[in-house]
Amino acid sequence: MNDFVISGIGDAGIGYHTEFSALELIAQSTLHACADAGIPVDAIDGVCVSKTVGLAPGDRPALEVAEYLGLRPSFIDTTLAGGAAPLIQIQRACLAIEAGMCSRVLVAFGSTQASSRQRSLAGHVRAGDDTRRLEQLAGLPAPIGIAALAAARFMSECGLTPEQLASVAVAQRRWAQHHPQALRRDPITIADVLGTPYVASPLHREELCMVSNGAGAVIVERAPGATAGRGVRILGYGEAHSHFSIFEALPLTSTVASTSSAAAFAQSGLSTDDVDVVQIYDAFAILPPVLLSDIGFCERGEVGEFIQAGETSPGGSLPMNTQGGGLSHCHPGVYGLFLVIEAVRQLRGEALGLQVSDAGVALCQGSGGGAFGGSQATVILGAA
Amino acid sequence: MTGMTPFWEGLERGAFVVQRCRECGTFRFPARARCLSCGSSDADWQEASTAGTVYSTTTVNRAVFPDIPPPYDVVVCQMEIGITFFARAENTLPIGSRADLRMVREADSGFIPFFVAADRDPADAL
Repeated sequence: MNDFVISGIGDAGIGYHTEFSALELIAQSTLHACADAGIPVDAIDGVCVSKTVGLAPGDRPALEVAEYLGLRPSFIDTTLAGGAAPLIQIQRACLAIEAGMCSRVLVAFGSTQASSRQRSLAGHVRAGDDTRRLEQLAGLPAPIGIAALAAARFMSECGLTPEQLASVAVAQRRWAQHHPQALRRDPITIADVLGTPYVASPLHREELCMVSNGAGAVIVERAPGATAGRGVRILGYGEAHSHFSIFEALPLTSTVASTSSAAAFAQSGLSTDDVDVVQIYDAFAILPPVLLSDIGFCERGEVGEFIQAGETSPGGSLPMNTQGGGLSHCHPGVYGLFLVIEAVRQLRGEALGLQVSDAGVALCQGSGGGAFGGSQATVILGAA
Repeated sequence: MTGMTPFWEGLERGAFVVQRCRECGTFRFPARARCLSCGSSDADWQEASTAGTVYSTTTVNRAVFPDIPPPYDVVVCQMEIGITFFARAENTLPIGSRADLRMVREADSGFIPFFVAADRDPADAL
């Protein structure tokens, strides 16, 4: 996989209000990414777009985006796997290029869900949909309910304290305070977080990702890319899928990120010791502790203390979510691409906020799809 | 008719009905095409034991569903029959404690499953 790079990145519309449609925001992101990669837009011959809010009817997002950009791709992908999808699509892009189907692939995502107010705690309940009916029968809001149950179990089984869970939000806010795009920048303390109301115990309001607009795009192509020296290398990749519904989501205290990251480490020949910065999916504050443990950065019984001690905060030994993550930066419904975009910026030495010094290797972990992380994708990136 | 119809029909009369493999007797929930233990697709549906152990619990503090006023508890149990089941609970049940799934008749809605502490007197109305 060392033969492939992310040669361009772009984003647009990060915020709560926008005059633009999701399609326009995706297009703006793409234009930025192409300029960054030093390629004309019509050099793109592969298009990957996952589920978005704001496209209509929204069931053929890659085609809709391709047409709007004036493209006729020889490769498309519309993988649906929640927050893991954009990372999966980066790998699919490499496979397609390797197979000779295309040369320059766009992976994009965007939504106007804040403006459309389309995300609800109850999900989208439809008559005849058994899983949703069972969730409704149990009064379990999706997706926060299963995350709350996961947090409660992690506390019970692994000793995570409410203060340690709150420190995930506090640590990420420390990065966001310095990031010009981050939508939540006010400093917060553990007491502030614990003082916000429960949405579903033990998750407090400040421990949930926000609902915002936002779009992002990356270009994947063979090394070195048109602007040699700026292409960030894709060193390793892995994915794993364990389940779809809440009924197969136990044990809740771990996910198959262990499997996806093991494959990525094996392919790259690297280990956790080699990673300088991590971007970990954080729809809920409980996700980073679970995923850091799954990947092997920490023991499950020690990860809370690790985060509370500041090891993932600015100045710590494992910089994590350096833009603030879904808790502080933005969250348009699928955050996966923003993990990659921030990792690329850090590896190029072009961080918009605080720069991790000598960032040579970044690990991105996308989680989603099945209830509480049923799909996992790991992308390991290296500086050019 | 969906694969889950026997469960919903059982619920209408206050019974806990679960799919069971005819080959090896393993229960599974929700309905599946094949047994998770032996792979057989020969199955029927049976009334099953309602005993379980509390695996996790949460108190929901928002009016997510129109007919359930907050705050209310939701519990997930590992059931004696080997499946995982989610249901509301009348009170917060401690993780690791024994629980029992009761079918409670609600006006207009038929029966709703609720977890209660296993040592709760069956004559106690919910």
